[in-house]
Amino acid sequence: MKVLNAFWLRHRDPLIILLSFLGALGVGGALFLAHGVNPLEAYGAMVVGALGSAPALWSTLARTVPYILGALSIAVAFAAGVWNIGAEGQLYMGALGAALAGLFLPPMPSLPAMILVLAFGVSVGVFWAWVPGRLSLDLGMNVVVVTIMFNAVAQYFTSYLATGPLAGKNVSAGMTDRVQDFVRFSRISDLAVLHTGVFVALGAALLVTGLMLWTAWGYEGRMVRLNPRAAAAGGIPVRRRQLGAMALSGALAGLAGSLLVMGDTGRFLVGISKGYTWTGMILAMMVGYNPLGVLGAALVYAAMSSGALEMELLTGIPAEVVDLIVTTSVLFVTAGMAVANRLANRLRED
Amino acid sequence: MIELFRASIRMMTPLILAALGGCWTLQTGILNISQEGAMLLGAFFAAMGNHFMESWVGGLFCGVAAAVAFNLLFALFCVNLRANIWVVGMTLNILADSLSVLLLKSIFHVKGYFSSPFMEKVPDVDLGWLSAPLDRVVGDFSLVVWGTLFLVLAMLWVDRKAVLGLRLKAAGENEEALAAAGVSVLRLRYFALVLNGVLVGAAGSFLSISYLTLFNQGMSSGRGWIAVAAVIFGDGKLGTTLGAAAAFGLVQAGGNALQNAGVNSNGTLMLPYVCILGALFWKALRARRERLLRERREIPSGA
Repeated sequence: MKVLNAFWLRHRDPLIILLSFLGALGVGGALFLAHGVNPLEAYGAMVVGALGSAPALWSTLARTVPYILGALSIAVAFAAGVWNIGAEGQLYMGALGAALAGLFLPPMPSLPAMILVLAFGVSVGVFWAWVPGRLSLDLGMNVVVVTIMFNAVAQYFTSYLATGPLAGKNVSAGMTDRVQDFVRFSRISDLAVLHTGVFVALGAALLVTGLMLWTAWGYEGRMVRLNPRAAAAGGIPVRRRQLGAMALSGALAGLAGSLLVMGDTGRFLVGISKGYTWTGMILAMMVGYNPLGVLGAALVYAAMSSGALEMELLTGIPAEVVDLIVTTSVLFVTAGMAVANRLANRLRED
Repeated sequence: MIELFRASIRMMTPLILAALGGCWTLQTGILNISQEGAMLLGAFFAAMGNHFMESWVGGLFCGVAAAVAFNLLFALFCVNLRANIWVVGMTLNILADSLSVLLLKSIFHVKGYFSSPFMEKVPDVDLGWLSAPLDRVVGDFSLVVWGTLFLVLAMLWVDRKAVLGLRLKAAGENEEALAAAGVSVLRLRYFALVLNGVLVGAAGSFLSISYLTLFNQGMSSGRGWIAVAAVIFGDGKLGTTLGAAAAFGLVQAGGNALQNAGVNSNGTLMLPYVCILGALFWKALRARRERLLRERREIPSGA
């Protein structure tokens, strides 16, 4: 009992997350049963669909990249207590920036050109995060509402450009032309859209993980979230940390958008993001904003959602059931943490 | 002019419904940011109930019931468990979105859009001889519109004159005092959230079974968020909140009119969001100026 208790105390949060996820899988299973489908068969079909063959494996990996960046973008901001709901808009603006640079850059060697395009896309993403960051931190405007409005503005603005002044020739509506070849990432394998941009994404992910987990900057950010007053009293520049988190969040979202343009689609198009940062938000909240957890959750989600297509073909149950499972899982985690915290407080008071 | 007025009323109705409940919820100390999801689910279940029961009453009932259930879930997490409202609210919004897509596929086997000949529209109100001179202006408004007008008046009265209005504000401003007076804060918060659910469910039903009888994916299209912006702008004051919601509805209708006049649709759709940002920015600037003035006045008197 004592051993068990010590184990629980040491690994409380990961255990809650794991149990919640299993519970959510159980809820999904109940849903399958209600449709008259054997849950084990359905989940089995998912695993086969995601990992069962070389093409499946490659496309699962390709799918993971934008989710990793989207979820990290949210995690960076939320971990420091800035509720940046605007990552979707930052992704769109970043993608638009990368497309603009990729379309109009004069011919030059590939490597510097790609660095320039990436830098421009990322900066546009940062700018679209920095403005609402300033508005909320300096003027006290509600950051959630401001970033939601910025999302809407970004989406309509980019749609306007993609259907109007920047609309491509000889393509269906809502797309720009292809960016020039020398700024495109090459594919790694013929089997899927996985391209060399994945290394940029992984590099950025590792950098951010290190920054969040093993530097004073990340630690101070967490302090700011947990107790801003105590953090301020302890000499942490709260405003600067939060603005920094906001900017980094925008940078990651902008990077996600730029990689989509330079790799996957080769152009900007309306609806370029399939809700990557919204799903990313769910994933980040599920693992309590831990960047390593985010990497794992993004892999699991990408596998599930890519396998879900196979499952839908086989059982007729919509693939969106995966989204239902992860959101349920977040609710379980939230409830679990709240109850655990309350129990811990009660124990301390006794 | 008359057309613009009528379009504005149609645009305002869901915003005002959601903002009314949101304002009272904020008065009790809880900002309900899951209104977008509640409105979407309300719209979906209203369409579904209407289809299966073949009556608008059934549809309205289902829409309202779904939104209330959704808000009860929000209440469970944010009132009882005291979880973070941003986390819970965003999760529920995303949950509502994927749930509506999932149910569209699994119940109706359609993607993104559902309509059926069995659906019955919420009736329009014919005022008869009463409105005859003004028929072009106020004739044929949906029952929901008139219901909303009635609710606005009733809730304004309660807000200013009734004990309940006072208690709601006390729940947000001074929980302990209210508890000491023997009133359950928990119950008040639940009351506000359930009422919020009823109203936002009605708003969702208005979208899917009033002027149109169809549901499409993402039908609430930001209206829940616009209502939240109005609630934040009003900061617990019902009159200001209503004014903001009405103004945002007017801008939406104006945008549509501009679009009909040939202005780019992306620009006109963006208009309400830009105006909201402008309104919130103006309010924030004013609050800051007042704070600075107060500080300047306090320094000499303290010295």
